Amino acid sequence: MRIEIRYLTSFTYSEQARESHNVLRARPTTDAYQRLISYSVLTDPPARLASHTDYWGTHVDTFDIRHPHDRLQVLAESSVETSPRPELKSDADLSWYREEDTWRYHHQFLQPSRHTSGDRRTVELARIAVEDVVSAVEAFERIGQTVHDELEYKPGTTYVGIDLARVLEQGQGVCQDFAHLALSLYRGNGIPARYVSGYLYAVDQASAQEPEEAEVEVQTHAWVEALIPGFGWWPCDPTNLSPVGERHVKIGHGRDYDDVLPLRGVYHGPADHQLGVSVRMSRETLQAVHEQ
Amino acid sequence: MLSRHAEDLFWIGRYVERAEDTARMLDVTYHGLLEAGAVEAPTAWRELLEVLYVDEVFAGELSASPVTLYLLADKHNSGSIVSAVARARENARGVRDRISSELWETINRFYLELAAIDLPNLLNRQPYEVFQLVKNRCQTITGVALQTMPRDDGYRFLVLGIMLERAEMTCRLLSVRYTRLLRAGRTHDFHAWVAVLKSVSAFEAYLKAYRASLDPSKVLEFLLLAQDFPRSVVFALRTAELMLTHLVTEGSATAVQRPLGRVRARAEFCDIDQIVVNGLDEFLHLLQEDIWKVAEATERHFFQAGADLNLQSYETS
Repeated sequence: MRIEIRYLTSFTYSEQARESHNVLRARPTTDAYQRLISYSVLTDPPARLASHTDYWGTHVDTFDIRHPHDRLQVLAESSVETSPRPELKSDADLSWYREEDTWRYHHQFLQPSRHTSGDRRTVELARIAVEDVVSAVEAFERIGQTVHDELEYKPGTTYVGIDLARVLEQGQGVCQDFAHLALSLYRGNGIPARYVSGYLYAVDQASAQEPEEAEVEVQTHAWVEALIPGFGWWPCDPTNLSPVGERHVKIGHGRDYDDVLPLRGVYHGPADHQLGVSVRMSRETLQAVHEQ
Repeated sequence: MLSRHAEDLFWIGRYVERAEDTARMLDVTYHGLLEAGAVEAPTAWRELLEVLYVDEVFAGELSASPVTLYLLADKHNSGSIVSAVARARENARGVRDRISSELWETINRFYLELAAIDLPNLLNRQPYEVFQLVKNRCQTITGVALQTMPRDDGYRFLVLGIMLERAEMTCRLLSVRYTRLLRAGRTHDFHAWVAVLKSVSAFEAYLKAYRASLDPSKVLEFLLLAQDFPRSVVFALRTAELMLTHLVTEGSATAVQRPLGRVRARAEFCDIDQIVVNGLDEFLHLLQEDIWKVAEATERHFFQAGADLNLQSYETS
């Protein structure tokens, strides 16, 4: 599926801001199931972009605007070709996760991190989720199901940096919270798991239904990937439990939100700013080619 | 460049110059007292402590050995030579990738050398050697900096630090020596004036400019106003101004330029005879205060730029 993404962030400051230094992670990655066709970033006021690939393999754009400005717009446009994934099949049992080498090679995705949690309730939930489970695939799916059952998708009830214990208490959250809970449960069971940041071409994140119109307004999305013995990293979208496929566009992965968050920065200026984020995704049809 | 780096370089300059000038002042006080009577000594040492603003903290006896040791080797005295060198080294360590390895090594070697020497012992036996060593090493450091640093902003901050410190210290030196000699009525004491000039390595340069007439007001004029002598107050302030002009690329640094221009003009266009009549002490004191203000403005404008505004961070989800 050919998907066009137009990711626009705009800041409006109440007074002049200056010395703004920003880090953007918005470029879709290229892997076995998706291929980046084009990518461009424009900022207003204009800035010179410097790019690098971070430790986790994510493409990072950095830019500075030093002179005083009262608004900042960042537009990242990309075009991606995605392909469907095969079905997850593995006979492996959970014993592989208990081997010393597993921990040795994947410990960075097994450690607790800032946004994941190891409190009593999460540990208990992690234990119950895989009770009597033998197969790795079953554990993988059961944890996704548990997260989906525990939380209700409700935007605006949580914020960045909220304690996961509080999210669990109120039973509501957004995709980041679903992902962080899933990470905690996987890691709690010794299953290496990583946070994925990306875009989802769907009517909304909760249902993940395919849009009827070609173009939709969405938000950046987050899901997770867990390691299946003999199969590799496999995605799970606990927010909607829909299979991760052609409509998921991955930007990158990391230990949690902090490693791959889309746009962060610092500036000198007023604390209050208005932030507007718009993600428009559209499906490209290959009509033109057929006509010829 | 990062303001942190600029600040480190600025302070390397200040600390190295401070160490050197403190050694010069100790030297001239020490050797000036060799021919003087025992009565003069305590006053001379107290005045030296006063001019370095440590007379209230210093608790020891007002004689050569304790005062010299305090100003040279006391680690608890933040103004001592040993402390200044240690701080210069700390600052240099923070910018090792911005200065030549030779510069770093020269500073570090001096620091280690001071730590290895039995300073109290050496001071008792050969004080001249110790002062000479400090002057020599500090000049080596500034020499290496001069020969190895590209003429970029980093260099300019270093020189700005050196020059502001030097201008201030020369004022202090003048107020401790000159006013003392005038007060003691030793206006025609040839050796005393030679000592003053030698303490800032200005003896030969002075002779070249004024021949052998050691007129006190000429000495004062030379050390304050000489346009071409690198240790005079006006030369130091003019060089500082020059550095600042190149540092100001975008926006305005008038907050620093204005006070610096003012103090330079005040020194440069002063009327020496009038000052001597009105009170040199007062004049030098005001000059020092103005130089402080320049240093403060530099600090505020370059190193804490925007510190009054909060640094905001944001994240999007």
